[in-house]
Amino acid sequence: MPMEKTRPSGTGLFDRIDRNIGRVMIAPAIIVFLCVSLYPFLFNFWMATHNVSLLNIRAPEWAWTGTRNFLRILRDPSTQGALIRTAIFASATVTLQLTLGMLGALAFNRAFRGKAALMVLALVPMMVTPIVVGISWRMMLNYDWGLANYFLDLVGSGPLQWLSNPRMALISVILVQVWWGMSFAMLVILGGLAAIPRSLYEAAEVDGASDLRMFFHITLPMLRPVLLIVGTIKVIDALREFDLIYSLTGGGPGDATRVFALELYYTAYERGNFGMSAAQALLLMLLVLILTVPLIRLLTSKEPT
Amino acid sequence: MSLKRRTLLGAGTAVALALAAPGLAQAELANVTIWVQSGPEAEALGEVAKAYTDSTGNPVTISPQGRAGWRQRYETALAAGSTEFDGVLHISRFVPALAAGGLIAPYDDYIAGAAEYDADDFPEIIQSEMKYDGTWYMMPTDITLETLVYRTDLIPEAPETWDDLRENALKFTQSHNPDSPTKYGFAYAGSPGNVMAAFLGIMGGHGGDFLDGESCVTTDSPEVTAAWKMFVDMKNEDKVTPPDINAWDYPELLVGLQNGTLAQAQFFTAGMPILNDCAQSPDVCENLALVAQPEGPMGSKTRVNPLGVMMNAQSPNKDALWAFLEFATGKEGALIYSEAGGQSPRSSVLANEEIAAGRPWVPEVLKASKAGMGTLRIAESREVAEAFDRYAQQAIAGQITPEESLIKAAEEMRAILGGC
Repeated sequence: MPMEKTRPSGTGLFDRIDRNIGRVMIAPAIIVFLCVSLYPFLFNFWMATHNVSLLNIRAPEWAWTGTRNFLRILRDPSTQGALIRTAIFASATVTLQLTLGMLGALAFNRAFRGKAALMVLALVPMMVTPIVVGISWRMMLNYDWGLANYFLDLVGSGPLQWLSNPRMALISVILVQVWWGMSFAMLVILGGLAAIPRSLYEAAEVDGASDLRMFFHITLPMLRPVLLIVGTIKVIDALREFDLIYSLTGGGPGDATRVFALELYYTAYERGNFGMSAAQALLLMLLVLILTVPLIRLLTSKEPT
Repeated sequence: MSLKRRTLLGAGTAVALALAAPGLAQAELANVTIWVQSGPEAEALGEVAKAYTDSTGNPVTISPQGRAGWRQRYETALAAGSTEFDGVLHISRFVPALAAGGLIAPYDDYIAGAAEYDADDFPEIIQSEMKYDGTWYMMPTDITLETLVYRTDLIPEAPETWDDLRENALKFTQSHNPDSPTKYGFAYAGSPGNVMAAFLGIMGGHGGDFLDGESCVTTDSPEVTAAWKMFVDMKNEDKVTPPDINAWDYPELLVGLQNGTLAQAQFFTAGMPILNDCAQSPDVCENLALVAQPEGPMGSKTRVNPLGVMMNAQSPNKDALWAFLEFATGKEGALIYSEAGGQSPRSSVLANEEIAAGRPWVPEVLKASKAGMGTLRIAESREVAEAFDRYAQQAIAGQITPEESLIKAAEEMRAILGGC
């Protein structure tokens, strides 16, 4: 008869410690979590349901507004515009980063001369902080002396107003974000590719499968968990992107690149309306959950054989 | 005296001194901390603090903070009731909202109680910029103006009127005159957050303002519309500015002046030391001058941008902070500050010949400050500015007409102010 592990049933001190050791071990982590995450969240919720602004932040109490802040932001054209721009920004950057990351990973999954040096160069963008990326690209995209228009001029094309034309500015911001974030996607996907058993490809080759067929029937299905992880991270990054866009365009021209995170910032620090800004922050959190929970569920669901 | 008596007397004296010492120490050693953005202002104020501490023994800590996110950092600290600093140095534009919210403390009683403090030595516009609702909330340490900087080798006489400026701009823009040595005739900081400030001078020169004396919105008045149309048309119709001017900030203006791209530009006086330094601006160091903004139909108005120290409402060392500021912004401290690289807004310091000897633009600063154009002095100033800026940017980008942008901005401003 196999021995069963039983919980200590004694009433002595050591028995009690033994029974509760798990809780004791995770208690510090839970306390830190409560202080650092839960309290600010609850305080944010409190602010979102009250009238809090720079003009009354030091008042002894704030007037209860209930859902008024939430309704205001949903009806506010500025917030609506920011949501649309965020949707465009997120869809474009996530799609491009995953696609280009996959292509880069496939390219680096083979041996070739200079692979190591090229790999280092390819990973440089992700080592640079977003604010430095924004400031550097602002100079590179300058109409008169930026590198981008210099190269366009070399190939005989006219200069572009990368950051001052409203349509072009959003495209520029997307391209810079993709440049910065693509190398992370490539690195993770490369790791996933390395984990696919070579025997699957050998068996497919024996059966006469083409490269394209092997990609769609072996590589992609086997990379599903990795792509879901990278996709989830990139969606979260895109929805909350702030520093890169702020340093690149400040949300301009006008509000052409004012995505939701920047709108939230302007509501707090330019309009001084902390209650509304708190409501926007909760809305952003909800959006992130709505988009990422299904992805996480897909990730944890049973994988197809 | 017997040994026992001497011992008792000595012990008693020691006890008395020990009890009194903490009180004595506190009166002379109240440590004051002032947060300042890192840069020349922090260095200059540091020199003043050193001189003050040397003469009084009272310690002052000038704590330089990083420039990125500076305003958000100190505002959050003030809103949270932090006592980490007693004073904070920044530009006057942010005084109204902070004062209205009770985050900074007034100076009126301190100034009234300082018989020898000459507040009237500051130009009227500077005094106005330091106040909210008639009360002093900032002590002025530095002045910088958004003046006109132009190439003296190309434009021998400074443009007197905005029409003259426009004529010069057309002459020195390569798309109009291929022989022009400069690519563009005029530029300003048109990026988000800067347009309202860049527009102030030309608006004032046309007799316009965002609000009237009763805080009614006049942004869509004929005067403001005429000025705004001229301003926007210089980019969209005349094409004398860089086409991406709405992405230009002060670093771009500096580079544009240094590398000879621009013939004229609205630029801060604080940038002149770099432009006049041949090591940093070899191509143009001897060919750049600064003047007050040109005249409109109602004269010349130049945007004034003073810096000063605001008192943290939660500070436990208000008296000590005032003692330092009374010195720092008084005539002696102001001179030390200016000699250390800053520029005090005191008229007596601006007129000081020794200071002017090393900075040829200072007499213009004094002249321009007498016809200065200040910022909005209402609690909702930032909301109103943000509304204007957003529509202004759309007009500059050519998405809407200048007139439309003012109508929309005025509508939103009236909604914010809940009035006329």
